Amino acid sequence: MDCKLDKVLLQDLLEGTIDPVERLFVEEHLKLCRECRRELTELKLLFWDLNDKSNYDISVPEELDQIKDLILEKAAGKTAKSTTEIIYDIQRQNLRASGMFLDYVPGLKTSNMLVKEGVKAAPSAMLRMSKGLIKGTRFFLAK
Amino acid sequence: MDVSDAAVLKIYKKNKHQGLELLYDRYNKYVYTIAYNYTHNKEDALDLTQEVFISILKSMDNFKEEFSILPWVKRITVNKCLNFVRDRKEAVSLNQTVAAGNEIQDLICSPNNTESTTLYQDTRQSLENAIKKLPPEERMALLLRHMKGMKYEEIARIMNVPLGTVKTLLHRARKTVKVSIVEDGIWEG
Repeated sequence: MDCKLDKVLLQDLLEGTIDPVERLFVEEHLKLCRECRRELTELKLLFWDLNDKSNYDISVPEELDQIKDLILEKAAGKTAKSTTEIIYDIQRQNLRASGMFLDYVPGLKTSNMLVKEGVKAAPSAMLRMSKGLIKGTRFFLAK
Repeated sequence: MDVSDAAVLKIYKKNKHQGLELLYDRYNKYVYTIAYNYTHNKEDALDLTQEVFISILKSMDNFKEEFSILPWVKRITVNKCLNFVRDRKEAVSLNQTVAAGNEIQDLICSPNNTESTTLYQDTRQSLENAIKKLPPEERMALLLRHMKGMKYEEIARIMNVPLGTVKTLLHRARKTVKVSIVEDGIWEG
């Protein structure tokens, strides 16, 4: 039981990175060699465990949120702002943020266009209305 | 490029602070997960995450829009992790053995150092211990391949080593981990 086969080939076989010719060779060898079959089984188990994502699951600590401010502070440290500028920026951000949802409201663009068209059409409507009004007044005056 | 990455860059151009915040929110867990699985220590992982982001934020202005952010974040994370260990070599590790042959951590009393915990180890713990003992480069290559499911080429690019080296690192790492798991008797019974 002293197999000379390079065990690395078995890893490559499982990873699919093996050369096609070597693959044929290894597959033939496995039919004859018990030791390598055992090694291959162990490697399969190893790959199974290594690829099992739950083995790497970790809980994210609260500190991760806390260091955010620290990092941002360091990053912003170079451009020191005056208080007025900061307040001004916050206000501007708030304004922008409060209107941000408008970009995502369905049909808003179309209705905007309709309103624009409506405004364009408005003068003629006004004209018609005033004409009607004049007619009406004449009617009353005649009486 | 990812749509959200593009959005982050767009926001960054308008408002740096907000852009950086979004970037942090988007990638902090990614960076922390790699750092934690690499160091197996919360404090070190947090330190590393901080270092990674500071370095990202510093070079954010030079970032070209046509590249995507994730590979860049990966690369910085990997570099920081590998350098981190190199910097810390002088520090005393709990795994270091003292003159009598015991590991320092075994000499410190611990409430859960009972026989049951040493006799029974689950797969996860055994795997963790094995990975922890690997040399830095091997550990990183193994994590990137199996935890993050990266292709060999990508690992080579990110770690800045030839493809052949990645293969060798992985072969060696897997061999060591397998030996360690077999010793723990995880697959028996």
